[in-house]
Amino acid sequence: MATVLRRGDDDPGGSGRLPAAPVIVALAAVLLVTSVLAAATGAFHIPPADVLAILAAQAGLADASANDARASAVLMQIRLPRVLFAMLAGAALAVSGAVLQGLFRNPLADPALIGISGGAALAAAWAIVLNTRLLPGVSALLGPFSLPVAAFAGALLAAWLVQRLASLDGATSIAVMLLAGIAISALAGAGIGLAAYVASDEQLRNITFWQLGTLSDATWRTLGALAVLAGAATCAGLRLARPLDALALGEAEARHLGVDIEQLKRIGMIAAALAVGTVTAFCGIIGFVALVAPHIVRIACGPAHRLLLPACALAGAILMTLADIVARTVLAPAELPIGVLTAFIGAPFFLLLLLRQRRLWGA
Amino acid sequence: MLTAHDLVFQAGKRALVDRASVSLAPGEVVAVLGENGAGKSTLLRLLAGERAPHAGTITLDGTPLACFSAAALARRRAVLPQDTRVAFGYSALEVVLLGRYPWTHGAPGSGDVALARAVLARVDAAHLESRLITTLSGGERARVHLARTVVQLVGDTPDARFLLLDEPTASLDLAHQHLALGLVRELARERRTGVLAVLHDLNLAAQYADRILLLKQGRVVADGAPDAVLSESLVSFAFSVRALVVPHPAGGRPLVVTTP
Repeated sequence: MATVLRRGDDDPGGSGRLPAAPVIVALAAVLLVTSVLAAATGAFHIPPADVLAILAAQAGLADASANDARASAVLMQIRLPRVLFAMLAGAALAVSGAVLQGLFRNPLADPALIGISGGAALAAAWAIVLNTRLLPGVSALLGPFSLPVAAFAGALLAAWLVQRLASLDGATSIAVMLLAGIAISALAGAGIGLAAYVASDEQLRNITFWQLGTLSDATWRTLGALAVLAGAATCAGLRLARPLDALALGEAEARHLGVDIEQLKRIGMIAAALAVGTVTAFCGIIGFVALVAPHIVRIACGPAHRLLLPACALAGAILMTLADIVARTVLAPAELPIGVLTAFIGAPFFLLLLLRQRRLWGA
Repeated sequence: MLTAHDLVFQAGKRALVDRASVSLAPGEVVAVLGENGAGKSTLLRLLAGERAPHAGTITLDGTPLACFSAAALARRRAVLPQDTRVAFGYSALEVVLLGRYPWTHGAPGSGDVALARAVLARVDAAHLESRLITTLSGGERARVHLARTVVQLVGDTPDARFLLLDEPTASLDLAHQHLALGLVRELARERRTGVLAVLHDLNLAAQYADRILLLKQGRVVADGAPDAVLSESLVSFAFSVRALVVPHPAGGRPLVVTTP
């Protein structure tokens, strides 16, 4: 009884899980350290202390004259947008992964595995090819938003397709979900191949590079577009915590609790597709961040979405920033596409999850 | 009052529920009995609004069920399905707190937590509160979900409540069967709740139900007090067994003994 009394109401779950507020604070602190490290690391090394000094000077908090002008330029023009880009993309991917896993009621739902990233990439690849040939007006109109809008449409279509295929009578078949993902990814791969075939040399280089997943396009301009779109998607996802918890009981049960299931699915799918589409449009296919981050957070803090979603945003940002540091240093001065790196880490992780889940669906 | 009139629900050409009429008043416990495939669970799903009937009407206090929003309905009636598989490893207390969904915005407050703990204790599951729902046995899980549906109906609106239970005792041992049915009967009496429970055990139904609804092939073959419905002829007709009905040695309720 004593333990019951001692446990605060902010930890109604108990179960020896980490409490909410310290987890968020700790994750934010780790993210801060990681991002300063990421800003310091690269072909041109800037000591972490200088990073902070330059940032303070930029914010008008310190005297700028003490700082190296070259370091200042590298940090402000190249590093900082890239680090922020990685953080935002990682946060958006992780939250969209957690939302999708909640909607599909399974921790294996990763946007790259179930074809949503493929759909986004297919639409974006054709947008690249058609942009200059057929639709110069459209791309001029939408500016940096043209690619993400196309990718969002592709992602949404794929998400809708997977969901329709995998759900039957209010239950989701995980096998069908993953198989449908394979089919959609294969179809998207073929479509991207076709786009590459008709692409000009420069477009082809763009397509290939970005199919591997890369953060090399990070500029203040693209960062702005990413911040608006992925930021909106992430915020929409964060608001779904309560109904997603109820949905864990099952669709019929959630409806009995008063959840508007159709609206939840609509908002969840649109938010996830917007996040994945935007990130895919700017960085290409970056797999497994959306799988790994929610899984780690669930182990540490439990599955309740009120904590899971914001913690995922932070964990995803940390993972992505760390991956970017490794991608930029491991083959220096060349750069490893970050999508290749996350796949190397994430794919074995997925297999591990699969092994643990195998018994559940009678393999 | 939850009232269903002439409900029909078909799967293909077969009528799973065939012109069934039911009423459930606050304060009473109604047991639904019948052999496998008699349409008990389907009837419960129709009453819960989970499926729409092909014909017939369901009203809650005179208003068609379809006119209620999911949120409004959730404050009036709770549903316990046969088995609920939770997708992630929530603790038992978290699962019970999900029952507070219709009443809370944002996080459940300390009042909700106290209520959830109290009801968990009532179903003899206080010691399970920190355990993950995915690691509980069938009987433990059933008690936790029963507690979830009970806390769902606690609120400050004066309306009558309805609790629909699909085989709440199926995975419970004898003591917990009595505990669960005793709890819902107390809810019926003290909290203006109409309870409708699909049961398999005739004698359990005889002991706890105010009224028994006997189904066979989707039709209501009898609807009345236990000693009227649990007659030798009706039981042998509905369950295709030979039945002997004697007065219960400890009280006036009928005791049914069946042989093949």
